[in-house]
Amino acid sequence: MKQFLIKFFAFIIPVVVLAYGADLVVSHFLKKSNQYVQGEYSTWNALYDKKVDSEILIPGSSRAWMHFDATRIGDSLHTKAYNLGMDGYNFWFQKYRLELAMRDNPHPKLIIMSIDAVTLQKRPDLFNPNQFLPFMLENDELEKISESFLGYHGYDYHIPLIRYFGKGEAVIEALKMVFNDSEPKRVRGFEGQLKAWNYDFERVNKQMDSFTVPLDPTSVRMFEDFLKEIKQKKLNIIFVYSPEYIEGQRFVKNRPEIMALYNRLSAQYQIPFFNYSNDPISYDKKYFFNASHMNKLGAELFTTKLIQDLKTLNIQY
Amino acid sequence: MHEAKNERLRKFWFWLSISVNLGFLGYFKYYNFFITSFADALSEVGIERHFSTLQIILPVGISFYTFHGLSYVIDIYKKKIVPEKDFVQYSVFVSFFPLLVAGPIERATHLLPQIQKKRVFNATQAVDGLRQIMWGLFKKLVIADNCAQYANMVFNNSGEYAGSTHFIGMLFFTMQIYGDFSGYSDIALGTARLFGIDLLRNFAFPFFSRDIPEFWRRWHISLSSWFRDYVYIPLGGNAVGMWKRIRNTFIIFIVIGFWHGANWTFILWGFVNALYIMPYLLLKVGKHETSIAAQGKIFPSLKEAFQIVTTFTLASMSSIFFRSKDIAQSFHFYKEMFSASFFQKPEGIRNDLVWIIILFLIVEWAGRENQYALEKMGFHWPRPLRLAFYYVILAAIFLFAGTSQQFVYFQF
Repeated sequence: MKQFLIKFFAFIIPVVVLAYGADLVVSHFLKKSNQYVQGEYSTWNALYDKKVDSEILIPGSSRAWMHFDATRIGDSLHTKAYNLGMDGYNFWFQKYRLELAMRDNPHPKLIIMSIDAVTLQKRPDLFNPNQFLPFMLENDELEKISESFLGYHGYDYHIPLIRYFGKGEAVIEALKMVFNDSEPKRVRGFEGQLKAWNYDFERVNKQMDSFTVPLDPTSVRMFEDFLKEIKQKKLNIIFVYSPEYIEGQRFVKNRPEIMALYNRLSAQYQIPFFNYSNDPISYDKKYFFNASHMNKLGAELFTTKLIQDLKTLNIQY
Repeated sequence: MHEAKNERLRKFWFWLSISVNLGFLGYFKYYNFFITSFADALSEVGIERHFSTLQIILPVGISFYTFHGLSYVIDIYKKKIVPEKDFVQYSVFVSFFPLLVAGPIERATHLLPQIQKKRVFNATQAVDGLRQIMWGLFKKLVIADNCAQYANMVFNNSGEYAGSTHFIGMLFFTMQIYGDFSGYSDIALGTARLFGIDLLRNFAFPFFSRDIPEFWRRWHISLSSWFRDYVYIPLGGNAVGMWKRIRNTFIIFIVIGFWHGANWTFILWGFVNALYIMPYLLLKVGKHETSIAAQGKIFPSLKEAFQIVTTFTLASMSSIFFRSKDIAQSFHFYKEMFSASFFQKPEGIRNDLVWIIILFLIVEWAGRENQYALEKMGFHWPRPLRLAFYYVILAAIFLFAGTSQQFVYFQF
């Protein structure tokens, strides 16, 4: 029995000892991937490495990521802008990204809050969870912000390598990065989508006539608290509802209620609200690849219009 | 029963014991099936009757330990063993934890003597047990759980995919159920070996069978041999005329199907497998009694390869009944599979999974002459290489484990 136990532990101990080092190596190379997890690593890297370095910050969801060309916005206003858009996430994580960016620059000149019908919804699970993998070890903030989402457990943040269980695809991606550098998908957080209309909307529409977005009361309260805090700090913030295909707008049954909420908050906290819901772009399918996301053509046209509107704010950058 | 004063009394205790065992199984597992089938049959002749069904949770593994217990009773009746008088030893036999929920279905003649004798820790046996557990984990977590994702995608959304995708979904389900159940069996056997107990082998590389009778000698061996010994042979076995053998074969396979679950799909699955056996029975072919495909060789002959692929495809085809929730879904699946889109490129296949399955089959093939694939693999390699091989398997389990899925056979 003694010999057996010695052999058993001699086999297992090297795995345990090397786990921490292996974790660091895998995470180091995985972060370098610009193609994996929809290119989210480039934004996380900029945030954690304090390289956002911008006077204009654009938090939001995938609609922010795909619609706001931060480089053009920054160049046109003779400053720097960064798109913090995060695919599949609502205000909980949008706020976290903004807070990380504001650690580097606590007083940005302008926050362009990209809002939409699902900003104040809360999904139960972590979307695209592999985007967190290289940043999780001993990251208490990330653990706290994600603890109300299904996906990872507390031990995933503290035991080396354990979060890579069943994530062979991510480890293979890290191994690829040992030999290659991948081209960035996102530039200052923005990535225009070279896609034509994909008929997803028609398919969904066949199955249901409309959809009601369940507003999350905690998210609404958190959003309002955030606005109060921004106003107390005397920071400039604006709401932007970027174009959304008109049929998609009609599909959201409680959209009037959601828009009324945004209008109330805009009036109450004196926040300019640039609403492009009825802009001509929203009526033309050629600018979209699905009901809520513009393609690159639409994003560039929208960015041009937004820049003109931003100039009316008379903010000195 | 053992101490009954006359044969009549002995028979009485025997049938009472059988009835009690099967009564529990019938009550928990089959009551609802019979009552709803009866109501459906009445409805067909225009009589509408509502019968209340049981709203109870089926005890996990009830079919396994019922048959486990039946073997004890039958072996005592046949005077192969004497009743165990030590309650602790009997309890260990009945509830030995590695085999409690999904077998293998043990025989009293095999397991009880091992429990009764004094066991001494054997390091070689324990290492072998750990190796088998590791291989079982690989089969379950990597093969079964990953294949399950694809199979579930196709079976749960049949109609949305091309015929070729259905075909791949069917193959992946066959891989899933093999990885799941034989993986569980390996874990159970390996765990038992840590305690110095050898359980009955449950799988003997069934995917390398050259015909359907051979497949059934290699698939869920503890169940098929149970039915052979306790049902088929008492019915006359091979010593009766052809018509009776045909009848007995259908009885055995339909009962095996029914053992799996109270659903017509399982009965049909058993029926189809009985049909598969018929040509071999009628033509008296299928003589691969004990031999192993391409024994002592690296590659099979062209003929053997063809036989293996054909047998695997036939087994997979019948598994559609096993996976479907009802017969209508089974036939819908066949219809979708053999549609014009059969020759389209299948959708949603993960390349990494295909490579993992290929490597898995290579390892299984290389180890097919042993009790399980890894049993003696690498024994002649340098020690560092062998250790590296084990670390690679552990890493593969860690990295490529699929989304956690319940063991399929726990429901039985």
